[in-house]
Amino acid sequence: MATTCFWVANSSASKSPTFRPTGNPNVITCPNCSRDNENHYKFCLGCGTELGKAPRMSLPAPTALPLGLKGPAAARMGAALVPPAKPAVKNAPPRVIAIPEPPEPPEPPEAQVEDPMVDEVAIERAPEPTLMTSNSEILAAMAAEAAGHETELPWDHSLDASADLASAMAAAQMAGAISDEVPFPHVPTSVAAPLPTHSDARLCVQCGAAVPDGFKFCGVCGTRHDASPRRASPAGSPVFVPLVQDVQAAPARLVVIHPDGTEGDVFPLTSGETTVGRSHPSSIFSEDPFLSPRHATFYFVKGQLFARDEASLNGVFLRIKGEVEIFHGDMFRIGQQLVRFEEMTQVRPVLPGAGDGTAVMGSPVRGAWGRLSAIVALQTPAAVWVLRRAEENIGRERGEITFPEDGFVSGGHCKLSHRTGRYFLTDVDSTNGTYLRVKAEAILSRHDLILLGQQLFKIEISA
Amino acid sequence: MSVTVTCSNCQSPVPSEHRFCGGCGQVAKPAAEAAEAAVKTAFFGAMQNAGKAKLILIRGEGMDGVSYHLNANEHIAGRKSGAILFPEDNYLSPRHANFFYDQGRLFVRDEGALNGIFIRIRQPVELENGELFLAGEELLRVELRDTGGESVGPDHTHFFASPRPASRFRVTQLFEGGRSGLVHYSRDAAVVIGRESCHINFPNDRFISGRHCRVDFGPTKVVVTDLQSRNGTYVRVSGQHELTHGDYLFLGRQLLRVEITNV
Repeated sequence: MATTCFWVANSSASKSPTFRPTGNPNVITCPNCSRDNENHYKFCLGCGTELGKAPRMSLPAPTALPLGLKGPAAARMGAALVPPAKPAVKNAPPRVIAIPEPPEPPEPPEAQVEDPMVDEVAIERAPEPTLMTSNSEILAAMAAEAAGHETELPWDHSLDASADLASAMAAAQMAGAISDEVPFPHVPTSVAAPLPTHSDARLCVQCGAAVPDGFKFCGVCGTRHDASPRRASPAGSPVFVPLVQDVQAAPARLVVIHPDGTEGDVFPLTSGETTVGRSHPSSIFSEDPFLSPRHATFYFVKGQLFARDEASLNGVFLRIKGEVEIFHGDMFRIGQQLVRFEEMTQVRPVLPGAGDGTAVMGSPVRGAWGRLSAIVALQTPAAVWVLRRAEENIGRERGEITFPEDGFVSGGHCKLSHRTGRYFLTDVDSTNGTYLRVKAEAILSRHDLILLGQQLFKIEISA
Repeated sequence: MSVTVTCSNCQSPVPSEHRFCGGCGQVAKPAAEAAEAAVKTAFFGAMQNAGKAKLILIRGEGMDGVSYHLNANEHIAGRKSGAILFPEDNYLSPRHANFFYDQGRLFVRDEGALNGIFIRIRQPVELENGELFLAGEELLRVELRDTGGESVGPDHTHFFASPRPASRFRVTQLFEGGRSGLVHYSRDAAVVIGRESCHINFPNDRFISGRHCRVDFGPTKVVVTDLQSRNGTYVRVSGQHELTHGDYLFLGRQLLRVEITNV
C-alpha cells in the first residue's frame, strides 16, 4: 500500500521524548514513526517516509496525485486535474508545466486521491533507496509558492543512473526503511513553478499555441518544450535561458542530475571563468539555500576544466573513483552524512595537562591512527569513531563504522585505510557514491559528478 | 639497661627515657604507665599490628600485595610527597590524595590531583554532566548537554550537515594524553558498554568484561550500573569520600583495596 506522507510542522505530536539540541529547533517529526529529522531532509531516516521541510506556516495537506503517467500525457492529465500541481514523472523533463489556467491553491487536506494505478506502479518501480520523492512535496512547495513563501528543498542524494537497480532494491529491502514507500519517480529539485503570467511566451512548434516561458509542455498539444538533454530542445529555465546552441556549443556544461538519476537542466560553462552560487541569476543556483552567494568557479587552463571552491560554506564535493589519498581534516559525504577525517596525532587534547610533570590519564591509544566524525552543525562533530585497523569499512550495515539509519548509505559503502603513514579513502561500489570535498581546486573530467549545495551535477566536456 | 615501652599509637618500641616515639612522634607515656605497659607483650614489629585500616596494593608499582597501614591521622599519597609514595607513576600528581580519619571514620580526599581518584561502585551511581568513569582500561565521560552548533552560516547560507542524533546523552572516550576518542550517542535510554555485542565495544581491552556496565538515562540524571563485571566500574571521587571496608580505589595506575579492621 502506498504511503503518502504530508508535511508535518515540527511542533506536531512528537511522541518521542528525545533529547533535542536546542540549537536546532527546526526539526520535522515523522508522521509515521515519530522520529525527529533534520529540517532539510526529504525522508525520515527512521522509516524512509517522505518528509517536507518544517514549514513556516501550516499548510493544508495537498492532494495526492496518480502516478504512472508519462511525458506530455502527464502534463495534460496533471494540468487537467489540478492545475498547479502536476505530478512530475520519470523521464519527464525537470521543469514543468503547461498550464493554461492561473494557479489555484491546493485542495484541502482531507482527500487523498487514490488511483488504482498507484499500487501497480509501486510494484513495478518500487526500488532504489534514492527514489524517494513524491508529489506531495511538489504540491506543498507549490502551496508555499502560492502563498508567497520562500520554498527550500533539501539536497537530495542522487542515484547514479548506471547504478545496479537490483542491488539497490536489495539494499532498500535490507534497510527495511522504505519498504512500503512508493517512490515517486521524478521530482525536479527546483519546483518554484513558473506561473503562466510570465511574459515572453513561445509558440508551440507543433500546434502554434502560446507556451509561457518556463513551461516544459505545450498546454494544448503536450509537445515538449524543454532543455532535456535527451531531446535537445529549448531550455526552460524561467530566468536564465541560454539558447540551445549556446549550451551545446559551450566547451563544458553542468547537467543537473535528479534524485532518480535522470538528467535535468543544463548549464553552460564558457571558456572563461564562470562563477556560480546563490546570487547567480539562474534558478538552478539561486533557489538553493545551501549554496553560498559565490560558491564555486569553473574555468579552463590549457583546455583542462577546473573547479575552484570560492571559500563556500558547504564546499564543492567531487565523487571519487576508486581510491584517493586523504589528509587530516578532509571532509566527505556519503548518504546523508557529512563526515570528517582526522589524523590522530593532529587531534588536539580536550583534557588539560598540569605543569608538574603529571601525565593525563586515559584509555590506551592502542595504535589508533585516526578519527572519523559525523558533523552535525558548523564546527560541531557529534558521533566519533576511532580508526585503528589497517582498513576500516564504512556502510549502512557492514563494517566497523555503520550508519544503520541512513537509507542512502549502501550496505558496504566505502573504506578508510592506513598504509605507511598515508591515508586513503576508497569507494566500494556504493550506489550513491562517496564525495570528497575539494580543497581549493580540482581538475574535472568528463562525466565527473560534483555536488554543489544540495544539487548534483554531471560534468559534460565538449570534445 | 633501659626499659622499652610500646608506643600506644604505632606499637614501636620506645626506650623509657625517650619522651617521644621515634616511629610516629607520639608523646611517650609517663614512666608509671610505661611500667604498666611493659607488662604487656610487645609486637615483633609495627606491621604486625592490624591498626585501624590499611590499603593493599592490588595492581601497580612494585610488589603487589604491599600494604600501607593507616595508623596516623593523615596519610598523603602522591608521586613526590607523602607516606604513600609511587614515584614511578606519572599519572599521580606530586600530592595526589589524602587518607584521613574524621571521628573514627576513614575518608579519602582529592588533593587537586590532575587525574583524580576513582572508586569502584557497589550500586548504581548517578553521574552529572561531564563526570568521568572507568570501565576496564577505558576512561569515559558522560555528557548531557546538547551538541549545539549553528546550522546557518554567513550570508544566510544553510549548512549541510549529518542528521543530529535523536539522543539523550552521549558517552565520550578519553585517551591518555587528553585527546577524545570514540563518541557514542545513545539511541535508546540505555547504553551498554563491554568487550563485544554491546552498544559500545572495546574488543582490545583485556580488562573489560563482555558486558561490563550500563549507562541509563534516568528521570533527571544519568545512572551508571556495573553489570557484575570482573574488574568493576569506577567513578571519579569529587571532593572527599568516606571509605568502607572492601572499597577499591584507582590512584593513577595504582589499584588499592581498603581494609578497615577495627574502627
